[in-house]
Amino acid sequence: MAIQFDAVGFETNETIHEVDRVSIKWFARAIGETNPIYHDREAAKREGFSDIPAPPTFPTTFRDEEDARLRDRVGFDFRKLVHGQQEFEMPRPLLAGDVIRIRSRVAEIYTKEGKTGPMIMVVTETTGRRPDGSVAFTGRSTVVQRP
Amino acid sequence: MAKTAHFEDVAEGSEIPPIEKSPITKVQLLQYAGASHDYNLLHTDDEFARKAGMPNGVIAHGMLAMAVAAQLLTDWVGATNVRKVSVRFTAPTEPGDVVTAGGKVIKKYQEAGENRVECEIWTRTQKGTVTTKGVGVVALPGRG
Repeated sequence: MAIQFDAVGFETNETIHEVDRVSIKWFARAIGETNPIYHDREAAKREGFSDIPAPPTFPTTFRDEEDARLRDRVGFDFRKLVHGQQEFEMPRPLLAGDVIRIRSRVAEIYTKEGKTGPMIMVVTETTGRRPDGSVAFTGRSTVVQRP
Repeated sequence: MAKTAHFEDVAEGSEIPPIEKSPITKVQLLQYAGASHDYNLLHTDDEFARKAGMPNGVIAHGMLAMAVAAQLLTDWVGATNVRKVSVRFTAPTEPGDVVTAGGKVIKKYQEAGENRVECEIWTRTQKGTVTTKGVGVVALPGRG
């Protein structure tokens, strides 16, 4: 299946994610983080956190059926995909116990000439909000479909 | 732990204390796949990865390299002070690679009532290959 350029503007339904200590612990272990604030609540408290904080790239774990729906809509071929760019912004870290509402949107699809032919760049923006509506994080991802 | 840097202590061009990680292992890639829910077989199945054009088999998730770039910032200023991490993935990381991260201060400014510092950040392997390149923004407390 080819990339569907008319997927620009496609928006997922909102999904709700609860940040939990166990997920943070295993994520931290997988990235080789040994800082105890990511698994020991007392250590986190000593650093001024009310609960276990999440590492800055933790929002990448918020994948769900809506994310899959977005990828289907765009028409990615997994054998030819590479992650081109990623950005996360956050006014403060996510903490265990936070409940975040997430929605993603296909922001842009464009082609760029590569060494072996045209590469298709798909830009997706994700916003996570707290229950009061304030922004918990924003993400911007560029995925490249190689020829 | 961290939290030693103050806004007054850094200048444009100041280096961020570099970090070095343990070698990437295939088990770690399985752990990362599970922890991040990124099950693309490019990172866990050698046969799939070779068919996808990776001569040595599986490569690490780009987001794993980015996590190291982010740790450079959290180790430096504390997890509470990181505002932005933005990278371009410039080359794959393979099992066995030792990833290091480094960076330097580009700009100091005020935003949203905070002292902010924009930095150039990068990760690279022991072969000297730059695997991510980007920008980080942190907030730093003043001495006052």
